[in-house]
Amino acid sequence: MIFLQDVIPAEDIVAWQAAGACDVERVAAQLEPVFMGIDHFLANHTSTPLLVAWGNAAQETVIESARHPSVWEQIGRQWEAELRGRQAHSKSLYLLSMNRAFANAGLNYCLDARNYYSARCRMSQRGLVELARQVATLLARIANPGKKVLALDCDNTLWGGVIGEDGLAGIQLGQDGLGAAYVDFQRQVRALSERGVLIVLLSKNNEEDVWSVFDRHPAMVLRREDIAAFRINWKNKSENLAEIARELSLGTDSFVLFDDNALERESMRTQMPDVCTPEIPCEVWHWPAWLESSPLFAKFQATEEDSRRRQLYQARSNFELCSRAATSENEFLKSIGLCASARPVNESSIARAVQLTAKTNQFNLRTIRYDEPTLRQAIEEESATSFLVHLADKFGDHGNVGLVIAKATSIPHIACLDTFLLSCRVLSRHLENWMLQECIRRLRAKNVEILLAEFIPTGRNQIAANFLQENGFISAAEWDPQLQKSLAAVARNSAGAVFAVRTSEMSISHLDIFAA
Amino acid sequence: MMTLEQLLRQHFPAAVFEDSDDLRVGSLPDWNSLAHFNFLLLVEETYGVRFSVDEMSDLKSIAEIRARLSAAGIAA
Repeated sequence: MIFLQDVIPAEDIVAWQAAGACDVERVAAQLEPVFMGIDHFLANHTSTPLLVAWGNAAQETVIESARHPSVWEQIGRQWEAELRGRQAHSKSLYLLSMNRAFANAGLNYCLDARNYYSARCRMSQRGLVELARQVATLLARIANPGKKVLALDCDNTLWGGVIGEDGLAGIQLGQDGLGAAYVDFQRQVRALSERGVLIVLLSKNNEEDVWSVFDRHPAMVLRREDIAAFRINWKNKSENLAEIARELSLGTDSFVLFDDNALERESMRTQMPDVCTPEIPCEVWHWPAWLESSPLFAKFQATEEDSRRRQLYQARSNFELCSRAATSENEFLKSIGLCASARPVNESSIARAVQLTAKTNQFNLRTIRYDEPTLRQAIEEESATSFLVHLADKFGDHGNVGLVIAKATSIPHIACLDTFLLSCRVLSRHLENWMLQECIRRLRAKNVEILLAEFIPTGRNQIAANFLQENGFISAAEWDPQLQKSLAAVARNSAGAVFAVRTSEMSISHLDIFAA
Repeated sequence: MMTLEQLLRQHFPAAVFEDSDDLRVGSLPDWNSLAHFNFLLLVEETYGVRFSVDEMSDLKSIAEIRARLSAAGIAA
C-alpha cells in the first residue's frame, strides 16, 4: 500500500500549491523509483499477479478543486495514467485505488436506497447534511475572502511543553511521538505561509526564550523570516493582536487565532469577536490535518502575489518604520522612487484582478466582488476603461496592487466608476491619486466629460470615505441644476453616496511624488 | 427529547397552529411532499427509528407518525 504523501516530498507540494500547478517532470522524477520497482517485477514475473494499492491522505477542502484541479488531483491523475499505461503491456498488473474504496465506505453512509425508492432522493440524511455543508463552504468563500493572518501561540502550540520552564532540551519537538506531530503542524503552517497567509506570534513568554527555540532547536520548521509580526510579552493577547493588525494595516476580522489554551480562546472571543477563534481538536496529532482541511484560508486559485506576500508585508513594515523617521511626508515619498504604472487586465493578470476585488476591504469605493466570468464580461465591454495598477519603490516590487474599472452610462460623455480599489499594503503613498489621474486621462481620451463615482460604506472602508471630495468630486446635494438634470437618470439606482466631477476640472494633489 | 409537535414547529418555523394532533401533509402552507420527506428524515434522526418504504408513503399525519413511534415504545 503506497501513500502518495510518502512518495512526493512535502516541500514540493508546498511549492506547487503556492504556484497553483505541479511540475509534471518533477512529479515523474519523484515517482520513478516506485515505477522502477514495479517494472522490475513485471519484467521478471509474467504470470504472477501484481496488485498495486495506493491512497492519498491529503485532506483538501472543496475550495481548492472548485475552480481548477488541485495539486493532489493533478498528481493522482499523473500517477494513475502511468500505471494504466503499464497495464496495456501487462496482463498481470492489477490496480487498487484505495481512495475509491474509502469513498465507497463513505457512500454507505451518504446514500440511502430506501429514500431513492420512496422519494427519488438518492441521499441519506447524512448525505444531505454533507451536501449542504460543502455547498455552504463554497458559497461562503464566493461571498467572502479567506482569512489573511494566522496568529499562533508558542508553548504547547508550536512545541510541547513550556520553553521558560522545560528549556530547549526539554520541549517536545522532533522525530518521535508527539514531537513529530508538532513538526507536522509547523509544516502545515509553513505551507500556509508559502501560499500567502501571514504568520504572526502571540505568546506570553520571554522574547529571548522563544527566539532561542527558533534559532537553536534543530527540529524547528518555522524560521524567524516566516514570521510577519510578533508580540511576545505578558500583555493581554487581544491588545497585542490589535497592535499587530495596525502594524500590518489589516482588519482584525482577517485574523485567525490558534491557541491551545481554552481560556485564551474564550478571552479573545469575548474581547475581539471579529477575530476568528475556532475550537481546535484536543489532541495535538489531529492538528496538522485540521489545519490542512480548514476552509478558513483556502483559495480558489493561487496567484504570484500570494507566494510573495510575506516579503511584500515585510516591505510594508520597513516603509512604516522609515516614514516615521522622516520629517516631511512629501519629501520622504519623493525620496523613495515611487514608480506607478498601469497594466492591462488580460489572461495572465485576470486572476489577480479577481482576487483584488475579493480581498480588498479598506480602500475600496464600492466593494463590488467579482468572479472571473463576470469580471471578464465587465472589462470586455467595449466602452469600459479598466486597468491594474503596478507599483515599485525602493522597498520592493509590490506587484499589481490596484484596480480601476470605469463604465459608460446610458448618457453620452458621462461615465461611472464601477470599481476603484487599492491594496492596503501600499497605502499612505497617495497611489490612489495617481490611479485617479490615470483613469481621468484615459476617460478624457474617450471624450468623457463627467465622471460619476459612488462611495458605499461597508464599515471597513472608512479610509476611502473622503477621497472623492478631496479630489474635486461634488456630492449630489451640491450639484448645479445643469448637472442635476443630466445625472438624474443615471444616479437614481445608487446604493451609496453619489459624487460627480467634470473631467476637465480635475485637480489632483501629490502627483509630483511619482517618477515620470 | 423534543416532542413531535416541537419538531414540527422547528421544521416549519413560519407556520401558525395551536394543536398539532389533527395536522397532516397539506395542513400548513409549506408542508408539501418534499418538506414532508425531509420531516420524516428528521423524525428518524431525532427518535432513532427507521421507516420502511411503505411507511415513508403511508405516514402522512402527526397522528399516524405518533402511533408508529408509540408502537416502537417512543412517547412523542
